[in-house]
Amino acid sequence: MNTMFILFVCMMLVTAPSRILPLFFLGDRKLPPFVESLLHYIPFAVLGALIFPDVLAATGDLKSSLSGAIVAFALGWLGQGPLVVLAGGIAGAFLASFL
Amino acid sequence: MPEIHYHAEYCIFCLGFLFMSDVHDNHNFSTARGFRNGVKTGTPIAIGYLPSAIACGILANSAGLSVAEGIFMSLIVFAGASQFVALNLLMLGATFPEILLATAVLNMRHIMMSSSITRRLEPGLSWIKKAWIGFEITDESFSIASMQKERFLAPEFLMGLNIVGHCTWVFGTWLGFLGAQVLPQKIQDSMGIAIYALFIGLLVPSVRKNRPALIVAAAAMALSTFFKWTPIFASMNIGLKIMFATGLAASLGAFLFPLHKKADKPA
Repeated sequence: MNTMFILFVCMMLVTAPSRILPLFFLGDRKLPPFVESLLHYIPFAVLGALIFPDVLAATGDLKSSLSGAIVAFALGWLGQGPLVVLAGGIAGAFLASFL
Repeated sequence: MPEIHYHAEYCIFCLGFLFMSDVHDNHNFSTARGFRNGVKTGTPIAIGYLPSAIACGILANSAGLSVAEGIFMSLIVFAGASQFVALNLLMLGATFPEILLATAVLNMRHIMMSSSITRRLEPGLSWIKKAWIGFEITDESFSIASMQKERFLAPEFLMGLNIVGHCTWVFGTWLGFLGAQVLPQKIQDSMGIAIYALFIGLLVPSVRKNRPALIVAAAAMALSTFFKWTPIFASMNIGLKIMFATGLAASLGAFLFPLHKKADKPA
């Protein structure tokens, strides 16, 4: 079996329990407030850590990477949806590679 | 996901928390019923998933996955942010254990969603129905489900609500692969930015009006830069650096800006 398929099955095995198990065991119990807050902030933190500084080397060229990132950031700040930000970021990096 | 539209989703999500206690105190014992009703209620989120699902397919393609692998991932993992992070870590050359740790931690926020839904399930559901409902819970389906006025949520309602999103997620992933095949090579060369543009598209709209989240994200960026460019951490794996930066920044947020502090005290 292909290693990717194994990875994805393992990903399911580590992500599904946090959705399923509380339906069986948690009942009315609440998590400690600190843990709830921590879980709430994790998505913001993980995205921040993934974006910077690696975005600077995204296309192998600082100028085009930075241009794409700036366009994407501006569109995101204007409240555009993910596909618009994605297309804008790619367009920004693509156009800057000709400069 | 399709934990994708953080901007809309987190607003609804926080509102859900605010109103949760009111819903329960209403002594309203009606039940939201019907598979079809669930599908109808879930259709707006399904439409919202589609762009992100297409993006997921495009990125899976640029990460070198086959169509079958990409569709399989969307079918069985069904977690947008985790899938994007996993694809990114794959491209960065992270090890499988690091990818699993990252996806597990990222998806742990579902614990609080499931534990909130469980209070609104009808008593005496079979384990298979519970497991099936839990497996398909996403940020969006949770948000919509928790906003229903009825005291109880019938299993067929939740299944209808969840399945329409799940199908859209898988279909959109396939569409993304199709799109990637027809794009010119010159554009595909610029696709290295795509995953970051997508992350930015998830993060920026959700933090621009949410100061604590903005501070957490900025702290995570600073910490990951610190881990990346400080010589003593040079030998540390990329996945571990990201986990440390994430854990520290999220702890900082939880310490400085605890959630719904007031709700814990009796009114």
